[in-house]
Parts: sequence; structure tokens; C-alpha cells
Amino acid sequence: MPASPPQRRDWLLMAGRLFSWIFMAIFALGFLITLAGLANGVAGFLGAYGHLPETAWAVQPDVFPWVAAGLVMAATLFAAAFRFVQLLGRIVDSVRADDPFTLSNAARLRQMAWLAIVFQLLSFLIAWPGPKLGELLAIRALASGDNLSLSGLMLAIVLFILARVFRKGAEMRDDLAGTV
Amino acid sequence: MAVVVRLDALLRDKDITLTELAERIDLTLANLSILKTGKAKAIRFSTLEAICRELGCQPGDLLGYERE
Repeated sequence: MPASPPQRRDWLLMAGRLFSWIFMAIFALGFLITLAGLANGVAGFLGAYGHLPETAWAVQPDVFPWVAAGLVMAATLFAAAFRFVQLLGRIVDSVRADDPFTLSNAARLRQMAWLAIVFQLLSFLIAWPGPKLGELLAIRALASGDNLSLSGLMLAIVLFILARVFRKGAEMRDDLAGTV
Repeated sequence: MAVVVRLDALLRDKDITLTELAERIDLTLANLSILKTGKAKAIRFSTLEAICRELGCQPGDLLGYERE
């Protein structure tokens, strides 16, 4: 493996790393808030708080299952998004170290592709109770049901292909490592 | 390995150190050591040309083949 040159200041990579940290913080916070909301709702539903107002979603039998399901899916989305950005950040680090073509990065891209499929599936699932939930909570955007998009699937395909490219790159890099 | 590298012998004949040769042909000492110890997987023609130029030899003097 040839010695890598000293790390130069690359603004694009630094910005990429900074954004990955920011988004990881946002998604982690979103996950914790969603979990807290779900825990509160479940506690309310189980009567842990005594008498809640009739308008609280945790005590409405029509609303509670849908909102709880939505919160579970939202928490899963936040966790998956956190992991996605974390993996991307590690790829950015490897590019900064001038050594991107590794089997580790190929594996990271495959994981990101599977996470994109998770996003796509969750978007379908959220679209399913969405209209019902929108109707119950009078949220027009959810009630319209126009939330389906296949962009997650396209992203997954691109990432799987990129993973193959990086695996091939890692093999070529290994060959190059022994070339003088 | 079936292809043998006779760089050691050539360096002794020409009375040149590995470090000097590395500087003359603009190759890192690490890479030249990889070649000398027979751990290289491939050699570029440009590297072969540079070594032959500095050591005044033919590629066949540097590389040989021994049936395993």
C-alpha cells in the first residue's frame, strides 16, 4: 500500500462530515423525542396518569393505535436515518484519508442500500395509516394519501451498484498495492 | 514465487545501495524493498526501464524464472 499524502484541507469533505454530525444529532434527538412521546402515550393509555383529558390521544381508542403505530414507525425511521448518516460519515472519513476503496466501504454501502429499502417500506406503511390518521387528527396533508414515492427504491439500487463498484475498487487497490 | 528478482546481486555488482537506487529512479524505498524481497505482484515497464537504465543492465539480468 503506497504511503498516503498528508491530509489536505478539503472543504467538500469537511462540509460533508460536519453535516453528517449535525444530522446524526438531529436524528438521535428525533428518535429520543419519539420514544418519549410513545412511552408517555402508552403510559396514558394504560391509565398510569389517572384521568387524562378526553382530547388526549392516549385515551381515545380510535386514535391511540394509529398514533402509536405512527410513532413506532417514526422512531424506526429516525434510527435508520441516524445509522445511514453515520455510515456515510465513515465513508467520508475514508475519502479524507485517501483510502476509499476498501471492503469496509463496500459493506457500508450495502448496509446503506438495505436502510434505503427500510425507508421505502416504512414510507409505504406510513402512507397506509396516513389518510386514516389525517382524517382523525384533521391533518390534510396526511389525509390526501399522496405520499407514495419510489425514490427510496431507486436510491437502494444505486447504493447496491456502488457497493459492487467499491468492492471491485478494493480488489484493484490490493493488486496495485503490490505493483512497483 | 516462480519469477525471481536478482536486484541484490545487481546492486552488489554496481556498488549501489538500495536507498541510492530508489532516489535515482524516483521510487520509494518501501516499494523498492518490496521488489527486492520478491513480494511485488507486478512491475511497471517504466520502473523496469528506470532500473535497467541506472544499473546498466537488461530486464533479463534483473528478472528470471525458476520452475517451482
